[in-house]
Amino acid sequence: MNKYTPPPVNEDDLHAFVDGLLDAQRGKEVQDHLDRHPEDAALVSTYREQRQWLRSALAPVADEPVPERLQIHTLLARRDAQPVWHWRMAAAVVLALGTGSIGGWQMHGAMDPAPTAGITALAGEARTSFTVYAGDGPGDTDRTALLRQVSDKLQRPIEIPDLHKSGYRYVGGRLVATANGAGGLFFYEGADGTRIAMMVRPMQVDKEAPMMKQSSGPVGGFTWAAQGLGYSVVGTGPTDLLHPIANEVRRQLRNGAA
Amino acid sequence: MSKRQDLELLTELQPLIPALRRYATAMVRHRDLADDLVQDCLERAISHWHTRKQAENTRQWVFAIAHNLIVNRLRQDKRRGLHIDIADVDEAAFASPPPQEARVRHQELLRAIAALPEEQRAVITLVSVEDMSYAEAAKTLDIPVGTVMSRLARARERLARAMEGGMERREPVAAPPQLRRLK
Repeated sequence: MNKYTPPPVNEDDLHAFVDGLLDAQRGKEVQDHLDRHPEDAALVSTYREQRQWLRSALAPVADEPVPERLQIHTLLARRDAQPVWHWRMAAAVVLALGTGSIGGWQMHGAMDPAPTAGITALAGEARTSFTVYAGDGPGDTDRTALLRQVSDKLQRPIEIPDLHKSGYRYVGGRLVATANGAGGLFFYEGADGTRIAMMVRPMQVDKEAPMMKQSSGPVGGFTWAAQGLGYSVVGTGPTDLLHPIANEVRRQLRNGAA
Repeated sequence: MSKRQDLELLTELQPLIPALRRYATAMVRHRDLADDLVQDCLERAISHWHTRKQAENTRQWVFAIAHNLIVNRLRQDKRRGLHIDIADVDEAAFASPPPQEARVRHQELLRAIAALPEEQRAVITLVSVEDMSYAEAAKTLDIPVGTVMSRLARARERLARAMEGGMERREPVAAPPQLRRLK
């Protein structure tokens, strides 16, 4: 007789049976074994129950909508806006500053790309300066003289980006005072007379920071920092329209600095 | 960054996000922290996408990234003296209020899972919830298949024992002698 004898059922088979990982043939052999061994059948039923409980306990997490910040399109937009390491650096600064005052579970909040003091302050200064000066006419229109003045005050060579391709022409600017020192404020005008501004000032904190969107009331914009200088592009109207312009400003400044 | 790569990311990575959140939640038992880790994982997956080998199983590759971040984070917290007390398990993290009569048992299971060593929790979650084969789980965790099996067995025994704790007294669950692992 050449009758097939199935290999003995071992513990791994029981687990694979519970997890549905056995082929049909082996599955049937294990089922036969369970029919003859009630204590193993009890184990299998306990493990099956665990499996079901675990799945149903965790199912709601996977069923809920994915938060915006984890969407691939959001992450791609941010990657395009700023290399990932800048974000990490900013997070590291927050962690360093937070030691002592932040602890425990709140720490993980610092992993969020939350606005930090320096950048947030700059965004506020830019909005305020814009609000105060936007209605005032273009300010100093002598580009060369203004650039020299601002660069002297900021002790850094400052550039005025060319936004013609974005549909905005430079109309003038001024030196402004902020709680964090002097800054340069440069105005641009669109074809329809819409005015936007770019502000720049040196950063004591957040020397590198990814671009973030901020708005307050009618004025909003995008703010970031690179190589110790903070920039903010602000205006009225839908804030998102300023995003490509801010990207263009940053691209030019990056290339200029390289 | 090429458009083609972005398209791949949208079609291959995006569908994995719910499962990644589920796995991270099971591991760290804290929703916000889990999402922070998933975000970190996705950013890494995006920036290292070109290093992923074509033939490689994308799910396993991404889960391996997530797992390493999770484990690093859990170790950091342990070093800093942070740990989640079993009593503090964020139940909302698991949500889905179970039927009233099952609530007690449900809570016992949550506590028991929270009390498992992280390496056992990883294996039982990948296998039982994420439906990975033992070979896939082994590759994801970078351990031999035999280790996956022994961790899975220990996790299930511990859970079974914990679940019985509050209920009728029985002999501790252990594999009967004839079922010892075949080496």
